[in-house]
Amino acid sequence: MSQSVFAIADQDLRTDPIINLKRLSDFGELKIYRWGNASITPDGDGNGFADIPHDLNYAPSYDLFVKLPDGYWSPVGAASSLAFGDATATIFGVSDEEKLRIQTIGGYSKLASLQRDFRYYILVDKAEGFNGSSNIALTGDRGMKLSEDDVNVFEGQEYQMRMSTKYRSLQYFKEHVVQETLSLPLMFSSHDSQDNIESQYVDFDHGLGYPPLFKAFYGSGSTLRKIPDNAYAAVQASDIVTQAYYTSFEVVAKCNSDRVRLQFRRRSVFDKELFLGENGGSHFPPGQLISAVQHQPKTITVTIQVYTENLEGSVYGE
Amino acid sequence: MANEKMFLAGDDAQNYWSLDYADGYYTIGNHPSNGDMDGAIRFPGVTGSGNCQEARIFLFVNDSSGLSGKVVLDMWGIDEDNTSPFGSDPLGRAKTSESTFWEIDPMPLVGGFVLSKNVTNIVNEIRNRMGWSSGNAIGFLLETHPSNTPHSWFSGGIDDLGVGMGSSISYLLIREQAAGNFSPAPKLISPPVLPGPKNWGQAQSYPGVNVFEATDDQMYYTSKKRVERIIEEIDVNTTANVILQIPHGLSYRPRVTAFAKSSVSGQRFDLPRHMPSSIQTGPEGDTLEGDIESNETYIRILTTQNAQVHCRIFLDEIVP
Repeated sequence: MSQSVFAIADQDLRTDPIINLKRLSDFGELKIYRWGNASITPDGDGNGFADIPHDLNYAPSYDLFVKLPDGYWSPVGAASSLAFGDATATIFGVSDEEKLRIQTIGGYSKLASLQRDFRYYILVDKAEGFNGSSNIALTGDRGMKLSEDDVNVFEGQEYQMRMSTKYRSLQYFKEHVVQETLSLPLMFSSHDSQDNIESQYVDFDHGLGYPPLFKAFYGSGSTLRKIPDNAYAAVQASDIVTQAYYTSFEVVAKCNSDRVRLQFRRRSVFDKELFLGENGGSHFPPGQLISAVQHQPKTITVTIQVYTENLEGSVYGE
Repeated sequence: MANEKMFLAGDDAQNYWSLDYADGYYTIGNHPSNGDMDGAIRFPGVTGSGNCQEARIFLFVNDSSGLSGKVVLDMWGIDEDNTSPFGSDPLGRAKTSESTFWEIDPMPLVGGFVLSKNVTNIVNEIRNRMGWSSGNAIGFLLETHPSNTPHSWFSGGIDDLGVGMGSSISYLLIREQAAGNFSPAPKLISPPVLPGPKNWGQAQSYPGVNVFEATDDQMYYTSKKRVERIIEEIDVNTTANVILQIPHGLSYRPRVTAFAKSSVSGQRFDLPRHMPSSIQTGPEGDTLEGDIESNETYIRILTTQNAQVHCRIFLDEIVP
C-alpha cells in the first residue's frame, strides 16, 4: 500500500512496519466532535432518557460510558446483570441526525431507577450511509486536513476527512493494548436447588491515574467479539440462535482510575418444572443429560485497549 | 471420560426390592397395613472408579400415601464390589460405612414425581473398594427411620402401575467433576511502562493552549501515541435473522464496529445490541437486536429486523 501523502514514524519511515507508523494518510482516523457528561433520573419503572443535541445533520458514531454504583465506568450496549445488577435492565445509546439519545430500560428489580451518570463522545464519523452536507461550516478553518481519495479537500465534508487538526483524535499508547488468556471451566447447574453461576475476571492496572475510555474484545474459537456482550436474550451471529434463558453468558468490562476489569459470567439453569416432572409434567428421556445448560470448558483470549481519554476529565461542546 | 453420566435402574424387576410389595418395586416409609416397608434399588453398569465429585440418587415415585406426612429414611450402599440382582431379599446384605439421612416432606402425587438425594460419599466408598471395576453395579438399601410419620410411604419401580409416565426413571447420576459455582482465581496484569516525554514528533494542543505546556488532556493529537486507523467504511443492508457475511480480505480477525439503522424508528444502534431477557420497548418502540463479529475471512452481521448497517473496519489486529 502506498503512502500517498505523509506518514510519521517512530524510527525509520522507510522501514517501520505499518503498525508502528503513528500517522499514515492511507487510513482514516476517528475524530471526536464533542464530548461531555449527562445524567438520567429514570421514572419509577426505571425508564428514562437524556438527549444530547448535535448539529451534524446526520447520525454520528458515538462512544458511551455509564458510571456504575461501585464507581466504575462501563461501556453501554447490552443488558447486564454484572453491570446493572439485573439482567432485565439495560442502557442504550442511539443517534439520529439531531441528537444522541441515552435511554435506560427498567428491569424487574427497577434498579435502573437509580440516577445514572454518563460520559458521551460524539464523533464526526458517521453511523450511517449519509452522502449529504452536514451543518458544520467549512470556511475559516485553519490547520491541516486530509481528505479521502477523490475528494477535494477544500470542498469535502468533515466526515470525508481521513484526519483533521480541527478535531481531537482518539489516541492510545501501544503499551496499553493488553492481551490475556482466560480458562473458563466446565460448569452446569446443581440438580436439586439453584442455578449455578460462576465468573472469571482479569484486572489490568493501566497506571493512568484516571478512569480511561477503553475498548475491550474477546476471541473465542475463530471469532472476535466486542464487549459488552450478553446472551440472555440475544441473537448471536455465531450460531444465529436466539439464546434462551438457559444459555446465559455475559461479558462486561469496567474501569476506574486504577484498573480495567474484564469479567465473564456464566449461568447454568436448573429447571425444576422440566426435570422433576412435577404436576404431571414431562420427564426427560433416559440418556439425556440433566443440566439445562452445560457451559463447556473454554479458553478465551481477551484484549483491552486503553485510550488516554479521561472519562472524568474536561468536556467540550456541552 | 464423560463428566456427567446417568445410570438407570430401568424396567428390570430384579433391580428393585420391597419388603412387602411384589418384585419390581421398591418401597419406603410406613404403610397402614404393612407397617415399615424397607426397600432396595440397584443400578447396573456404573462406570468410573475412585472418587467422583458428585453423585445423586433420583427415585421415581409412582405411588404414595400423598399428603399424609413425612417419609424419613436412612440410606446405605450395599457394601459389595458388584451388587448382584435382587433375586432374593437383599435387605440383610452388608451396608457401607457411609450413609445418609433423608427426610422428605409430604407432597402430592399427581402423575408421579422424582426425589433426589446426594449420595456422593456412599458411591465413592463403593468405587474405592479393592474389587470394584468400572461397569459394576451399585445397590442402595432404604430403611425406614423411627421418626417417619405413621402411614406415610411411597414406592416406585418398573412401569406397570398404569400412571402413564413412560419408562421408569429412577437413576443414579454421577459427575466426575462438579464445577458448579466454581470461579477461577482472578488474574492481575501489572501496569505497563509508558514512554517518557519526547522532544520530537508532532503535537497539537487545544486552541488557546501552549503546545509545549499542554497536558495530555489538552492535546488534540500527539505522535507519541497511536490513533486507530480505519481501513474501510461500508454500508450494507441486512435481512432479518440472516447472517450477512462480508469478506474483508485481511488475514486476521480485524476490529470492526457497526451501527444499524432501525426500520421502525430510524435510530442508529451501536452493535452488538442485546435487549434484556424479557424484551422491553426500546427507544420509540424499537426492539431491534443485532450482533457483529469477525473471523479471519468475514465480518458477520446479524440483525433481528431488516436494517441498513454502517460498518467500519480497522487496521489494527486485536487478537492474533
